[in-house]
Order: sequence, then C-alpha cells, then structure tokens
Amino acid sequence: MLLDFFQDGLFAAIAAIGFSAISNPPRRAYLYCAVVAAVGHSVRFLLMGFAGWHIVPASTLAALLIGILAVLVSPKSRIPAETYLYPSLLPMIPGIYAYKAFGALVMCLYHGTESSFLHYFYLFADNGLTCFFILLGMVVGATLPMFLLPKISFQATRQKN
Amino acid sequence: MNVPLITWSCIVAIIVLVFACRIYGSIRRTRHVAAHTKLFSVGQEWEEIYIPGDRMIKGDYDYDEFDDL
Amino acid sequence: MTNSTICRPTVKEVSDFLSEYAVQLFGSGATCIRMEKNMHRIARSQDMEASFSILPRHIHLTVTGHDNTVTSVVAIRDLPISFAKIALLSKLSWQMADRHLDFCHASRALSRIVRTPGANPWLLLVLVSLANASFCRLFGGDMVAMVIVFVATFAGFLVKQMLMERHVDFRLTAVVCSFVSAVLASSDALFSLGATPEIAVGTSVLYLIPGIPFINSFCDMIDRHYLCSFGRMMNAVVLSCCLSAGLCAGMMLMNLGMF
Repeated sequence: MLLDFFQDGLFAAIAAIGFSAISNPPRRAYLYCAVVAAVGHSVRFLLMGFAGWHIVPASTLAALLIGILAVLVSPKSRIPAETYLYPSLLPMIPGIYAYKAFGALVMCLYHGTESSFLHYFYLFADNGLTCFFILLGMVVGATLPMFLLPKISFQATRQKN
Repeated sequence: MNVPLITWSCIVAIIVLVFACRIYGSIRRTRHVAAHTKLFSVGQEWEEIYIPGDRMIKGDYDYDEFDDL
Repeated sequence: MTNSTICRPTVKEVSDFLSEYAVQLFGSGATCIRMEKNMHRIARSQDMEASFSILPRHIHLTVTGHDNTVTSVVAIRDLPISFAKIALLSKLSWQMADRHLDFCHASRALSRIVRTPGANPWLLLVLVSLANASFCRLFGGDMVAMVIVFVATFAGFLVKQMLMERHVDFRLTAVVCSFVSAVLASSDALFSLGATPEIAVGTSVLYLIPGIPFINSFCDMIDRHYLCSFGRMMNAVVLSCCLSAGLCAGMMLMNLGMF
C-alpha cells in the first residue's frame, strides 16, 4: 500500500512535468511543479483510497493544500505562484470525465430507444456534472490561498532592494 | 482484410512518413545553422565592455537618439 | 539604470504599450486578476489610470492621463500558452512600478519578451509522451498499455506540432490528433497485447485536454469576470468536443465498444 502511494506521487510528478511543459513554465519552475503536483495527487489518492472520500471534496482539499504550499514557496522561488500552481493542477484535471460526457451526448442521438437514450443521458449528466464540480472545487481550493495572501502571491516577481 | 486493420495500417504508415519528414527537416535546419556559425570571428569593442543593462548599440550612430535636436 | 534623457511618454504611447502588454498577457494564459493588477501597476507608474474590459475576441482599454484620455480596442491573438512569458511580464510591471526601468527601456524589454522562444519541440514531444504514459499508469494501466500510450501520444503530438506550425485551425487539429492517437492506442485491443486495452484508449487523448483554459475560466468566474470566464470555458468545451469527436470516430473505425 505504501508502495502504491509513492508510485502515485512519482507518476503524478512525471505527468506534471510533461503537461506543464506544454504551457512553457519558467525553467526554474519545473522542479516546483513536480513536487507540488506529487503532493497534491498523493493527498487526493490518500483521501479517496483510505478515507473513502468522493473525488470532488478530495480534489478540493488536495488543491487547497498545494495552493498554500505554492503561495508559501513563491517568494523564495521569485516566480508567480500561478506559474507552477496551475501546471501542477493538470494531473488532477478530470479529462476523462470531460470527453466521456461529450461521447455520451453523441450516443444519446445515436440510439433510438428510450431506455438507451436515458442511459446515455444519465452518463452525460453524471460525467459532465462531476467534471464541472471537480474543476470548480479544484480551482476554488487552489486560488483561495492566493486571494487570502495577496501580499505574498502578487509580489513574487518584485525585485528586493 | 477488415476495416480496423486497414485503418490502423494507414495511420501507422502516415505517422512513419510524418516522423521521417520531421527528422529530415530538423537535421537540415541544424546543418544550415551549423554552416553559418563560425568558430572564430572578429568581435566588436562594445561586446567586451558590455554591462547588462547597457543600451544595445547597433550601428555607429543611433539616429533615434537625436530626434529631438 | 535610468538614462540621462528623461523618457516622458504621452498617453497614446502608454495606451499602445498597455494594449500590446494586455494582448501578450492574455494570449499567454494569464488570469484576469493578474492582468488587472499588472496593468494598473504599469499605468500608475506613469501617473495615469487604466481601465479595461475583456471581450471574447477583443480587449477594450482606456488610459487616462492628466491632460487627455485615449481609448483603444485591440484584437486578441491566439498565442501559445507560456507561463515563462507571464512571469517575465509580471517582473517587467514591478520594475516599472519600482522605477528600476523607465518607459523607453520597458518598451524595448517588452518587444524582447514578445520574442521569447518556446521549449525545444523534440524535448516537449518526449516529455508529453512520458507524461501521458505515466497518466495511463495513474488510471491503472499495465506496462503494455503505458508503452502503447507513449507511442500513441508521441504520434498524436507530432501531428499536432506539424499542424500548429502550419497554423491549421485548432479545432481541426484536435479532431485529427485525437483520431490518430485513438487508432494507435487501440492496437492494444486489436492485437490483444495487454490486459487493460480500454485504459490505453481512454488515456491516449488526454494530452489534448485544454487544462489551463479550464482552470483560468474557473478562476475568472470566482473573480466575477463572467464574460471572460464564459469565453474561455466555451473555447475549452469546444476543444474537448472536437477531441471527443476524433476519439469516437477512431473507436468506431476500430470496432471498439463505446464506454
């Protein structure tokens, strides 16, 4: 079980580095991205696997935690918190829910009978709503520390005299 | 042959072709750059005494500076 | 740092500078709150006031100086998302606010930042493929599925890079890339190689999910920039739709069951 936990963190870190590379973070931010993402994904893994939480509150709490971490680290790293906070949220983005929702919507039209339509419509609504609320929870959790501590988070790039 | 196998083979063929083109293009570009990068060249004086934050002077005269004269 | 000749910009010059700055910041994927803070900071450093609204395809900007007011509308350009650029642009705004940099130097710095190159495309290709393969692992795929997802992502992202260089519409790019990735990823099922073929197909297209636009749109929603938030969310949703369409087409052609 401990091995699973560390594996989850490791693969989340690799995923964060790769996906953040698409959005061109500053070169110094890659390391922070990896660490922050690994912490976030492992926390969510723990909450869902051991505490049996639903994915929405688990994502929110994990995002809140890494939001606080990112804001505290940002003055030291001298890069804005969001430049590595957002890329490190990418491994938690509910991508599968998003495209499954659209796939189910297409299948709604494709299938004629009422029961299969209802089944696919249920899949569409279920996946779509889950995706929406995971995203909302994640972003609220991650940005709350930024808004609560604006003095730190919006002055990271300021030169100290 | 069935449809999935034909589709799969077509896509694989296209991807291999695209990959080859891309590698060829990138090799040609690096060669092109390498051909135009000289190992030795005569530098300019300001390059030696340049301090970060100085103005980059392109020619002998920077005409823009005297606009208001 | 400051030059002996004092650089006093007119309101028009500041407005031009700010509109280019806003377009760059928005295109690089900055949130509205970041844009507001940075632009007000720059305007105040020149003893002016700036206010702006972000429409889906334009930015409407008004700069007020002591003698006159300039209003301009600039079109938003599709730029690659770059947090490195956002960090540099934020740094520039603080340098101007703290008077380390006068307006003329700042204009030159801005034009230098605009030309900041992106990451090496080959490195990016490998990193994204590795990332998607480890994503497959996170969803419970086995080793075979990981390798197949690596190859599928590599091929799809290669096509994406080529299409992006040729400035093909990003929606068409999403359809084509997800189709390519889905077909290649379904070789797991086609040749019955591994134990988790459906995970391989499911995760092979995840590199196309527009994560940053989704996050930004929700961030703007919290900040009550509803119009901008809706615009960004629509873009992300349309892209996810296109991705899903390509995936569905690929799965149908490969005779795979839908979900």
